[in-house]
Amino acid sequence: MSRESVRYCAVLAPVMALLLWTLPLAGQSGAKTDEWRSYGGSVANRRYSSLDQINASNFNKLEVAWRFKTDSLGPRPEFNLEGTPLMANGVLYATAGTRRAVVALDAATGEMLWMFSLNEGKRGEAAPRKLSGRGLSYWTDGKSERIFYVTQGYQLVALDAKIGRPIPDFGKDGMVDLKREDDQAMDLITGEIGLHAAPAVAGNTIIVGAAHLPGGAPKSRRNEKGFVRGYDVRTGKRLWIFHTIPMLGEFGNDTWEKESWSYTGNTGVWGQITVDEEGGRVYLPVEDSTGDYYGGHRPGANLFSSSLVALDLKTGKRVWHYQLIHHDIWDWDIPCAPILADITVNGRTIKAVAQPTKQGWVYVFDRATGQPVWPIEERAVEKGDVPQEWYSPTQPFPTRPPAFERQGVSIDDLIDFTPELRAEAVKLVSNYKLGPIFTPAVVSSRERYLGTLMMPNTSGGANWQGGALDPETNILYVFSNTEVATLGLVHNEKLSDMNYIRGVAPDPNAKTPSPAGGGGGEGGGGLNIQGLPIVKPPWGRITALDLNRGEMAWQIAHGDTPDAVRNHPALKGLSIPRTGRTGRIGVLVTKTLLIAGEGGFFTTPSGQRGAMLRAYDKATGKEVGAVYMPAPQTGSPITYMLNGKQYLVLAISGAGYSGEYVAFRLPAVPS
Amino acid sequence: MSRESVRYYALVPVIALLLWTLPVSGQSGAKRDEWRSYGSDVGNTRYSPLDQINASNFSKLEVAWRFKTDNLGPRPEFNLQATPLMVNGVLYAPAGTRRAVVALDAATGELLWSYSFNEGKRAEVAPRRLSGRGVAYWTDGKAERIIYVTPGYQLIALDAKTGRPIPSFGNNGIVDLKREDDQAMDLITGDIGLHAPPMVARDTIIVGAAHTPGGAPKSRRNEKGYVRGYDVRTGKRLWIFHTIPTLGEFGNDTWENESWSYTGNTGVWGAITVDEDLGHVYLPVENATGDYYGGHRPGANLFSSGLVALDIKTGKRIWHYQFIHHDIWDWDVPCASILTDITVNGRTIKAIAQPTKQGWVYVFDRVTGQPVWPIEERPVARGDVPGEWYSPTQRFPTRPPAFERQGVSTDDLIDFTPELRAEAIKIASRYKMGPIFTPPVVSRWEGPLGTLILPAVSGGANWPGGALDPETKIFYIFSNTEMTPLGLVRDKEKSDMDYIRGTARDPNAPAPKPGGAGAGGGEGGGGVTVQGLPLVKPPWGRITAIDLNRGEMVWQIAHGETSDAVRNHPALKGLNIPRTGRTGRIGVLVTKTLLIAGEGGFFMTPSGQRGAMLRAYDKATGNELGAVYMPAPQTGSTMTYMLNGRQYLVLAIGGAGYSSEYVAFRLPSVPS
Repeated sequence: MSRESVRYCAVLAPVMALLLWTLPLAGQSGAKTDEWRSYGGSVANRRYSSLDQINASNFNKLEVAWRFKTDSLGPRPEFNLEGTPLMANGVLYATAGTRRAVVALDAATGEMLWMFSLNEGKRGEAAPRKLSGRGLSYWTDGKSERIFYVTQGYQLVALDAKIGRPIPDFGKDGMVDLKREDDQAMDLITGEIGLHAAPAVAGNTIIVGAAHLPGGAPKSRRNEKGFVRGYDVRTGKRLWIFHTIPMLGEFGNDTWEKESWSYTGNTGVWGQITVDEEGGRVYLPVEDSTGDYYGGHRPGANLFSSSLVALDLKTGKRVWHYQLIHHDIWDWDIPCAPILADITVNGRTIKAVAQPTKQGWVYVFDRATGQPVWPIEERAVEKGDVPQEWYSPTQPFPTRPPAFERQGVSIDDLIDFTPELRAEAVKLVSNYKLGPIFTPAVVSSRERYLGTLMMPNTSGGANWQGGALDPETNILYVFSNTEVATLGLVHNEKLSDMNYIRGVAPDPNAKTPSPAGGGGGEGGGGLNIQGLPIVKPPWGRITALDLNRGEMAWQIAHGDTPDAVRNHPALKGLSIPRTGRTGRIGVLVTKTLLIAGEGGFFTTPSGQRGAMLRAYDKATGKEVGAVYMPAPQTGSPITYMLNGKQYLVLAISGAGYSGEYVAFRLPAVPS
Repeated sequence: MSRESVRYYALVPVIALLLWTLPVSGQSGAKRDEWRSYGSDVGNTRYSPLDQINASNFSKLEVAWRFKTDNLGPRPEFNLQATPLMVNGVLYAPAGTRRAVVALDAATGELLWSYSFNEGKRAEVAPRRLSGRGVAYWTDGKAERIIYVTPGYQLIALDAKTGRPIPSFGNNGIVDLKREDDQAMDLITGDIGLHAPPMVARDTIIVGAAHTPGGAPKSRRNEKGYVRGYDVRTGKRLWIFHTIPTLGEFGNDTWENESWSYTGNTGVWGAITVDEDLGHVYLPVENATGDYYGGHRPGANLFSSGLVALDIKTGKRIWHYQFIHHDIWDWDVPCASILTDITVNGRTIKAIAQPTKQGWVYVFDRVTGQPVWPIEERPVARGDVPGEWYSPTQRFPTRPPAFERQGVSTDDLIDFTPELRAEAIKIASRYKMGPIFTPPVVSRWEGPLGTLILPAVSGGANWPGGALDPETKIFYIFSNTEMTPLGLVRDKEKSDMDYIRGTARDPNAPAPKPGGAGAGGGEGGGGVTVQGLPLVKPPWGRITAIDLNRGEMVWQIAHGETSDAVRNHPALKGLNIPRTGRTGRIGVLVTKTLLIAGEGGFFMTPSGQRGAMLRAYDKATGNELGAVYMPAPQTGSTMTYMLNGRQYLVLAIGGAGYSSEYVAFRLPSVPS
């Protein structure tokens, strides 16, 4: 580069950045600028960037620009850092550490510009959703800039983005106590409600969801309800509330028989919320209700549990809804952001919303009307025999696009690397009930079934990281895990006032019963044979779905084969294709690439323990590059351009490697 | 542990709170569980009465937490020299290449707040960058402040609770130290800064000054390093002390030819000590412009390279003692003097002990400035550098004995094998050798290339200084045994000085590149080595214990395991070489039970990991009692405190390939 052009860059680049910065944001077409201003790139949650400096020819040359270690942002280091940072105006904002601090970093160097941390004492310690969370939000009116986040103790905090201090005229000294004004009474310390997701900020409204303790073995059928609220971005005043469990007289209340709406809780929105700013719509991915696997205390379809709900951004009034699972008893609640896509189906342009799910389908709707783009059929499903359970006679089955995950378990799904392993697998599953998707849980029994084998797992399939969408091709990309859950129910009065909670029947021949009595608890774990998963690989995959056609474009295993499989004595001599590895892997689409890091550690090609950040051809899924990371991806990658350089930033962490944000960029001298 | 004792421990914070309201005792080590001043107390003893960590359990220490400093600046730092403070359960420290200040939970290392000031160009051109050596704490029992000096030489007062500047202090919490300094200077480029923490005592902040290292200054003119006192509440300047006396002031006549008017430096870059009872401030003053050539500053150059006592209220000089007249060795006073009340021949003396680069600890009655043991003026060799002014005599303490070797003779050269010895003699033959105070020479290719001086120009002792056990009056200090080849060259392209440090070039070597180093002036020099081995005999890093009641050495040991380069050296194969010590900047800590010091430099530790050891010694004998692994060498001095019933050791570590961090050690939760 000549000296002349060096001068050009030095002088004009900041000016240009400033000019870009004053342009209005486009809400739903990926980041228009060089920045990353919202959790999912934009409130349309496409995880798309039009940047192209990093491409197939140079991806392997990426170097670490900086690292930001989060150990000291809390009383102890964190080993599962799930945050997605934002980048606005050259500053990177992120949540970090076991106290869920907020940090502002120089996006070029990683230098910490400020840190804000709120010690909530017992309220933080008792919180159902601890650690650093998944992100935060940014707002500007062109002059002032604010950062919003939700604390572990469920308080909404507004910070001045320049200095990291609470905004005095927002709420009470910069904070809104989300345990108040929630149309239900709860203890401010112990009330079981919190949030990992970033609040959504659109226009001048902040939209806040709710999460609870995982509910496989709740102490009670009664719990806090996860209502969703809108707040004024300037004052913190509550603008509206949406009752995800309808109150008496509200639409859908009759789907909660025996007044179960009154005491049932959960049914929050713990996934990321999406907004169509142009259409003035908020899209809520709603979770399931109290009792993840037993719904006997909440007879009925349970609207709006496990539903996609569209609200009016201004009023919070419901515009449409679609329940993806009636009376969910699989914990297949909706885990992630719906994605806005303007698709063309048979020549007709449809402003669509696409919802990836744990159960392996992407449900696609006209986002204005809630009409399915392709038929979704109500089909009869098996009724179970758990006492007092209420079973929905039918469930919705999308006809397009095809599922991105395997659904249901049959003998054909079991590993067959060798006849011995296959035989062992078949023997092992004989203690479990097998069946297609929506096969319900069983009461765990030593005589019949210990549980139902279900696939996708109760954690998905997809999970909180969701998918990404290329607005040029309308191809949706999603990573998913192929795992089996064993789902049995037990009765345990010591642990719960529910009739049934998740658990495994105790072995009558065991000398000492487990301390929990009937063996209730989250438990479950994965079934394995000699340490190998019981189902065939790939165990981690990325799927590309063409949303114009409702078809799968390609599917690949993501993640190199784990050491435990590569070095397994029973597999010696076998040639096993890449198996993929499980994880919570958010993918990033750019103009040039599909980018995703691996989950889990393995011995990388350089011989170092770590994981690879991989780049794929968007059209074919063919790998085009990979760079070493010292630990697996645990937060979704973002990208931005600063001073003429494109950066990739993601959170990595894992066993023995505490959480950090790591930034990659190309070397200083292009070669 | 019974439930009863658990409950007891829950009360400890209450007790700590009670202790916290007691007045600070100035000069006898931390009386309680905290570490409130850079050197533990304003008497800089680096002593703590804590005893939970002792000889029997030292090796069981575990890492309680780490605080990585990488992101407190635009790039990571690899030489973090600071000593943190601990007050009321909060640890305060500077960190990172921006010299941020951080407050950490002292039990967990959690970041409570950080403050960072981006000074732009002013910091980029600053003579003293990086994170510095520490911060100061002040309280009136209610308000608490953290006070520090930025790389750009601004004094900042922060609210210790929030980390925000105190609006009523200076200009919104900031005093520009480049102003009101009785000299004009450019606010951006003025060559002045400070690594040392400001001293805070009796509601007064005392701030020293440092400059760019002065072996090859661009000019004989430079900023002067005056010392000032400020009101801790308002930031108002209370007084100034001219380390170079202006016209009409005492000592001005020691600067001949009006050299006082343009000569600079002569600052106080070491830590300052205070006797709060006497109301005295003790300044370790550095040398004047031209570290190795004083031809432009003829005369003894008061108060350079001396110890000066001031009245803390007025800044007026009470007494002074110059250690080196007209210093041309850069043996400026690098570290805090230490206050101790000793008993000499039955007489109690309020004493002050000043460790130095040149290897002596000078001991005075701190009330009067009288030497405790005679210090003799003895004639020394005069050199022949044109234009230089030589002091006919220098001062030689008679007690205690030097803690470092002084001067170089053939006997000092390595003799591991006859071959190495012969090679060393051959290399040394190109240099001038002689006793301490042998002056530098003009470098000639045909010889001498320079004077070999020992201790090196960086000491002997340097900024870490020493520590003192108030129970036994034994003074402990780490020092390097290193040699500097000291030659002078003329280089008008680089400097308006007649001579600067440099080495003559081989006249037969190809001409230097245009725009290159000319005659080879510059800091340069480096060590002289034989096949990569130091030219002088080990130990190369040592700790010395000196009884200040008797003025005698108690013991001396090599500190630091033999380096890999020596252990694996082919020329030394089969030889049995005792521990050689390793060089470093090693501040030592004395507790009720132990002498504690980390190693400098990396080596392959006993566990097979690259790193360095934190070692504990018997205070009376120097016998090693324990050692724990650290992933990188000590770069900042160790401090200790007690919190929730557990004693912590915290120090800064870092080095090549290992960016800096504070690491905290404590015993495992279940005593075993």
